[in-house]
Amino acid sequence: MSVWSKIGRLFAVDDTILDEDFSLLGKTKGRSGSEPESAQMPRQDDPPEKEPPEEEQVAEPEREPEDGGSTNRIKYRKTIRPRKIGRAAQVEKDGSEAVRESEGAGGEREPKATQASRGDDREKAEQKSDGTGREKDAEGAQKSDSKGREKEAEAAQKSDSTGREKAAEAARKSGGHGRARETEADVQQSDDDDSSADGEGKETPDDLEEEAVPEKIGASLAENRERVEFIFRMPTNADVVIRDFWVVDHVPVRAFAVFLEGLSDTKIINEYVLEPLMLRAKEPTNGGKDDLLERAREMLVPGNQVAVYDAWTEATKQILTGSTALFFEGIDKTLVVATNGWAHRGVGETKTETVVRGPHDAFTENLRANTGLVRARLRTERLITEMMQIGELAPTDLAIMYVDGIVNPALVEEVKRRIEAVKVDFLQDSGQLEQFIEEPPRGLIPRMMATERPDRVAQSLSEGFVSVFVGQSPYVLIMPTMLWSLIHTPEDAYLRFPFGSFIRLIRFIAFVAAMLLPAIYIAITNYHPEMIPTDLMLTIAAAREKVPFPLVLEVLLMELALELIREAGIRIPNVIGPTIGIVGALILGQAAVQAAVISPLLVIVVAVTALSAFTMPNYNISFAVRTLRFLFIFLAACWGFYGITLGVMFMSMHWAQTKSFGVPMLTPIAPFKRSSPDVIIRGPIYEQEMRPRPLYPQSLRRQTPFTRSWAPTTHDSEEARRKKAKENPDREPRSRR
Amino acid sequence: MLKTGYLGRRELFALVFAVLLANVFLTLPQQMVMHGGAAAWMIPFVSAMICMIVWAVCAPALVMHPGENMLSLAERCLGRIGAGIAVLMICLFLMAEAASTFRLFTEMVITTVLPRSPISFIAIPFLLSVLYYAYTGIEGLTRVSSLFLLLFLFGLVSLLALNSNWMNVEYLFPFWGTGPLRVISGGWQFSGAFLNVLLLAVFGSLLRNPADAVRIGYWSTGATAVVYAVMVLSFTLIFPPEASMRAPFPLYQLGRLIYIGQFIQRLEAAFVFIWVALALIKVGTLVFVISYLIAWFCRMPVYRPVVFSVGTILYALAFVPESWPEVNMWNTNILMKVGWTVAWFIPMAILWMARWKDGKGEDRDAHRNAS
Repeated sequence: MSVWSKIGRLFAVDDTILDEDFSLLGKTKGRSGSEPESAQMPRQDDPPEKEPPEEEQVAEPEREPEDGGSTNRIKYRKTIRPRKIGRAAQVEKDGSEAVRESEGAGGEREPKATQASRGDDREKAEQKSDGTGREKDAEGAQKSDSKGREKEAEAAQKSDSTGREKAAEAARKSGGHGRARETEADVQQSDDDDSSADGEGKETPDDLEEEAVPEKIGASLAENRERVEFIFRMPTNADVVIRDFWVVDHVPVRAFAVFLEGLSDTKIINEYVLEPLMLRAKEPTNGGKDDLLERAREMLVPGNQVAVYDAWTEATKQILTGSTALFFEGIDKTLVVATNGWAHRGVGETKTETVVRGPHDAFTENLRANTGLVRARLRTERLITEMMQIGELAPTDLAIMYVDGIVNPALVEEVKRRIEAVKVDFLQDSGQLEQFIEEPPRGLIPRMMATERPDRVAQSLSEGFVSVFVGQSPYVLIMPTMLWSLIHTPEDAYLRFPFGSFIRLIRFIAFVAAMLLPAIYIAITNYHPEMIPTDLMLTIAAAREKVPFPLVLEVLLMELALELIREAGIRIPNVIGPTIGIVGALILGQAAVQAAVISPLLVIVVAVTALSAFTMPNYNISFAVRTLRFLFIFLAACWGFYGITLGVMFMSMHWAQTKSFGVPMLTPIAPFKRSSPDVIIRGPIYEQEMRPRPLYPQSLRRQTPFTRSWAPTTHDSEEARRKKAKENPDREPRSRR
Repeated sequence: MLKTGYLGRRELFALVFAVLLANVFLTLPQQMVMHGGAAAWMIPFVSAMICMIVWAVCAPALVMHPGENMLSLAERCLGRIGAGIAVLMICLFLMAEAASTFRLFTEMVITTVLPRSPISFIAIPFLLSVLYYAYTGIEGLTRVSSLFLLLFLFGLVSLLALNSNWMNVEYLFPFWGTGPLRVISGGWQFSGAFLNVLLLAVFGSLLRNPADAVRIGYWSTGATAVVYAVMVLSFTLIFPPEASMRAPFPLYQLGRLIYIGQFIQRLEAAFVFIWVALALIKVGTLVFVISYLIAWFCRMPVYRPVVFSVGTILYALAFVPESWPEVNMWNTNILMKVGWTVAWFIPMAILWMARWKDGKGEDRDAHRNAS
């Protein structure tokens, strides 16, 4: 959206009415029925839907009889034609409608043979077209007509793989899949003209692959091997291993296994995939089945996750996740055995959300290990894990986790809707996904919580939140979130409530101090010195007497130095890590004061501010606090308390109208929702009866009203008596002690 | 006008209460003391009584017509032209009130907090904040009000408590101040400060349950009367009436007086937060209401295009008076004297007319036939 459009929108459109915001109450704005608006009205920057090119739709029926019914092969051969955009594009530029017609819907140039077979109209059109280049094209098309057809018919009749193997060999020699495709094309059309070679390599690899790989797996082992090599760019790609072997059955069968080095566990492959097939396949099978694939799946391969696929896309996807795919001669399916076993860090301790009391384990760089950590805690059959993938170039697995029967279904749908809309080449971390799905995208405070703690995710899920695990990211997203939750820690709940409340209050004060303390110091010292007790004011004045800078510059210098230390502390190699502490202490503490660059009181102010910022339990909110601090310093320098107040009010208004997945960030305080005492202070655990009401969970109550029914203070309470009287209206209520 | 959703009753109460509360930080206590002398603290109760009676008369109309507000009822009762005239009158008054508050506030900031600052240096940031508040609309305004309401009340209570060492009961005499009649007439006059009737008549329909609007009306009127009375009472307990009449910013004066021990002194700057926040909420709400009414009058589906125009007019209008005394005079002699006509008389007239027509059955039949 251009700047002018934005300004126009600012003046003319009420975004609160027209945006696609959604509400957990089920009322969705900007959507009609169950169909999301985004699905109906693709955005301008969305990629166009992939439709089969016109060329294919036209060419396929013509080729079928020529190729003996091998549809896959036809597609494979035909579509690997590189797009001709060199001279053909020039021709098109000349204004020839005829040549433009000869190109497919996707802009891909048709093979000459196909063009020739299209019939007289097109030939005539090409012949009519003026210009040398076009005439040559037409000539080439005519010539290629007969030869190309003969070749293809020959290839189809022979049905052996000699030609293809040669082509594959040539491709391997050529050293790249691009060249391989070219060679394949040459086999297909021996009389291919120069123009196609001129225009090669203009298409992106993704486009080519999607078009080149047939949908179904073939029965020919050689052909399948050839396609595997093509798909995985072999031999350039050294990570892929193809292991040829014989299945020693009653009638030996040729086979090969494909897996990715480093991603699969070779021990599992050796012992539980290859060994049974190569050595034990011949053993009596108790009257087993004749079908080798079925026998292998049911009796020979003892893997715990074995599946049969007949599509290349699925097989490729499985290989890329570390599974081993087995292809057998004469079988048009593949047996995929889960052999995933890449190296990853084990479950370690929390790095950024440490607690004293409570679990210390943290998520790691393994999706399934992470989901397992949560499931190990929240052991209910209602815990649902839905798997998705994001990434056009390299798909990344995503797991959406929620508790069925508690979570609001509208929330799950909204999370999935937003994730499904993300079309990106490669998505590596939950931090990237967060930026794609948060709304509004601008703003400093995080709209969802990223945590490395499995216990926090488990607790959130039990309260009706949704969590999203992204690939190998050790941070899991919990959504939606409220501002207050970002300042909570799991430890608040593990401690007894007075202490939980106490540390939480400290954190809330720290939240304000981290944002405002330097600004307040500037405001008081510069604009409102009357507030300071006289003795203290004299002390401050004496300390600042030798400092040559204005106060705001002094504060900015110190804050900048602190940010430098913080950033350096993260980036510095561990070996020299302690140095940063010494440098920081020297620079900030002693040297700067002795050099009269800063006043001693400012050191205290900055140190307290830094400590306050470190208490923020959420990494993202601490960034927001750090950034806002500089804004408030500026406001205080200009307007004193007046500026700080305007800034606070401005920020509060922004927060008040910010929503996270339809939930206002300041709820349950503004707007007010009746909730358990767990917002600013942490109430007793036996009073935490309700799940967060702003989420509109399916089940609001999470514990019975009387969890301590054995305690005299509970069963003699007025509330208990009323409840009992309500449950047993005939019984006379017991007199109060 | 498009309806975007429902408001929470607590949030709407907080907004209405905060808008009324803002007056005590401006010149209202001084004006009351000037009118009622030592008995000025009684004036808010008289005003509240008038407003409650008014509300009792007109509020049932909102319950009888759920989902409808004063504007739609005015259109039905007075016709398009009559309703338009009523709305324009309200807009003019609110614009004058907003401009007056805006100027008073900026002048007050210059006088007390940031002396020697150019007025535009103070006014422009305030105007930008006001525009942002008005732009975000009723939802944001209500939420911010409810977020800070307790803080505002805590600030007021602590301001009074920290000044308790200066209070002198003798200043309350003579008990009837300038006389009972002056107190009653003052009550009538200062009832114009109770804008809650107007606000609820316009926005009460945004509540899920229209009956909540009635309750909010009573509660906000009562609570405001108590706060006004307590503030004016404390003010007169600390400053004798003669001195009070010469103190244009009473609460600022109270803040300056704080001196407890060696470490709690001169806390007026600490109350700047409450003071600025309340002024911002009040002016932001007024600008929003003006924009909303103009958009309704022009049959616009959304009000936001009007906000910036209203802000520009507000800024220009605020600088029409040459000086702060002139603004104060306009405020005391004109706005405060005629304010009641817009604050409750026009809403009452419209809503009562709606009730009357409904009682006659004409409207109900027309509705039934239409449906």
